[in-house]
Amino acid sequence: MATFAKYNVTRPAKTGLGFSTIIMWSLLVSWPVSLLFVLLAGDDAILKYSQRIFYYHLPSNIVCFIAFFIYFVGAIGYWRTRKRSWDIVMVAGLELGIFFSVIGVVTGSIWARYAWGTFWTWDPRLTTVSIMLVVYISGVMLRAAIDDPTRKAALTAVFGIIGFVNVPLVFFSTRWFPKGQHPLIFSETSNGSETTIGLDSFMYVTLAVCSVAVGLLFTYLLTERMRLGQMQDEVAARRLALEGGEN
Amino acid sequence: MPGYLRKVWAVYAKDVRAELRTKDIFSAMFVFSLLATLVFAFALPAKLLDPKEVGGIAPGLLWVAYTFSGVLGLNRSFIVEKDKGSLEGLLLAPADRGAIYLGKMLSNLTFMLLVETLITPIFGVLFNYSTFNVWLIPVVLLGTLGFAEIGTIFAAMAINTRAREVLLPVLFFPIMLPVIIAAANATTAVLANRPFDEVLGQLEFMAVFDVIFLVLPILLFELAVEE
Amino acid sequence: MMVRAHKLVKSFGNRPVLRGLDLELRQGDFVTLLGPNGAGKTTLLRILATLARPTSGTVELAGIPLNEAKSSIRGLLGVISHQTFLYEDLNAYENLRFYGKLYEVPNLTARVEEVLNKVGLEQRAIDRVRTYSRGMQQRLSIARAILHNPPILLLDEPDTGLDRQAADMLGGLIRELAIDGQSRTVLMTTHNLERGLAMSDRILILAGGRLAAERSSKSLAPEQLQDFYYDTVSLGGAR
Repeated sequence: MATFAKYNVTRPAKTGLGFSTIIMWSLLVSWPVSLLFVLLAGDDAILKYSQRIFYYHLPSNIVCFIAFFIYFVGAIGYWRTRKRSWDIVMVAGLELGIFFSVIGVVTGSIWARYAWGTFWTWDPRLTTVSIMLVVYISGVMLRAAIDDPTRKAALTAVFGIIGFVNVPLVFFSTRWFPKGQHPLIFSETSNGSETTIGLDSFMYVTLAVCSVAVGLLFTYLLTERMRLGQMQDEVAARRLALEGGEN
Repeated sequence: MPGYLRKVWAVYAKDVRAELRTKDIFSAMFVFSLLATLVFAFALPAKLLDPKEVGGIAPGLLWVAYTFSGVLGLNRSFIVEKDKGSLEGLLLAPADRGAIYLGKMLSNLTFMLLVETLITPIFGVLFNYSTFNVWLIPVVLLGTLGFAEIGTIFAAMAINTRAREVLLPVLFFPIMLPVIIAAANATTAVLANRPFDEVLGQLEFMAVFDVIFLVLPILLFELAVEE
Repeated sequence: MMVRAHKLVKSFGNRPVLRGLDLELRQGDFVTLLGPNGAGKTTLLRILATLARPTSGTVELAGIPLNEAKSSIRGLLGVISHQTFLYEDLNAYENLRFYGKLYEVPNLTARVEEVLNKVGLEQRAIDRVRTYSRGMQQRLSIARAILHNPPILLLDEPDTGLDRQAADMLGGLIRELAIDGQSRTVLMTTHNLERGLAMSDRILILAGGRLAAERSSKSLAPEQLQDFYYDTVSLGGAR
């Protein structure tokens, strides 16, 4: 340890340390609580027990969208400034978006299986999230194929902008898919010809609690991922400085 | 502005002239589309015999053929630039990056449309399914334009990575899904002689896609090719 | 000052290639840049050619900073690399006319003829570039580079792949065109020490990502150059 003292290595002092601890504890508390709410919530009249997965399914989809939006914002930021910090934002958004879209697709699929007997429906939302998942996995492959960090960031940014602008177009185009026998359409207000799922007030509360839990998970992962990126850069810079100094 | 358009034309004319000499890109795309069509026909013989079934799958297969041969052509158009470093020659010139993009996009569009014009009737013959319908033209035009727009910028990006041309389909297919869906749908409707207003929605959609992804790559091309 | 670089740093991620390089070229200078492989010669030229962005530091060409008006700055540069930038399926006329349009060269047809004559390719002008020898391709590449009469020429190892005779001819051609009625500013990199010395007013040696030495060409006899070069490079590399 004495040798490290020579190079004056200190823990990066960040106010983020306090913030992420709060998030982490809120997170650890909120998930069991949300599970409790989910178990206590009443059965849905039509879909019975299987509907409960929806409490995690919907927030996951929303969070996935937010993550990809963050990727988009990072891409615009990089485009305008060419700063490495925006690259970290992009990567965090990309990775978390993929993570939560997988959850969204898997939960959606499980729900479809137990509610309607098929693992897949061509529901606009499910289809859109799945296509987004594929698009962003391609983004990961793009990054993997580039070695030079500057070019990696630049191409990630281009792909992020094009990919995100494409999302509303994807959603729109799903309406040309054939309608499955069991449209998995959910809306809080009754909507004429489509199957609706009404929620009673306790269910709304449950949804809110689960949204908070998922949201906290997302926030925690996001801030930690960005901090990881910054620390990786710092390590590399210090290593470089060491090599330069010793020569 | 006129200088800008002159440069777009210069890049376009250069691509077309070079292609007329060798016909590399065109022949690769044409042969591939032909073979793909044959494979489809042989893989689904039963479907072909039933006139009710054919209308369901043929348009989709047609767009599959267009998609794959389009990727082939896009790759080849940039491999040419990469090998002799001429892409860098282009970037060295005092020409706006957007102009370079437009020129290449238009040449890619031209080659794709040419191949599609030849393949579509052949497809119709093999599938015993009439593809002669005037309303098919706007569908193919708008759809292919979308292919060229996204394909050109992605090909320019892919060619500079380790995976090179293999990466293009990976990037291209997911983004193009909306267009492929709309185009295949519209083609089915057109060839089934559905009334025009059923197709209008898809055409409008593709037009919106084309406009958005004409402007965006022009702005982003600089970022896509810089080092 | 035609070309100036100040504290130029270029890193590829965490790998630094140029570590704070300063460079000044006055109008009419013919400078040869020497250095071992990986020293950063090509990287430096690419940054000056506006093909790559520096990580930090400033570059000015003809007094204009690199970050502004990139498009018009490019018109000041003629670049020759070991890649020819030529379209092999087109002939010399077509290649030159194409680049001429991109560079907005006035009186293009006449200028193309003029330039082909200068490099001695007027007889083969209508043949496809694919049929040219490497030496001829490099000559056409030079024609392309001077087509728009740029005041600054950047040459990255133009003698690569040429036999001694062809390389000597090329060297003579380059020197001739550098003067050519107006003193162009030329920065050339090469691995051939003697030729580099003979062609230039000054030699620069790049080592360890920095300018390790600078000498006027007259002050070094050809016999001294090799030793001087190896001494400089081994010192610079250890830094």
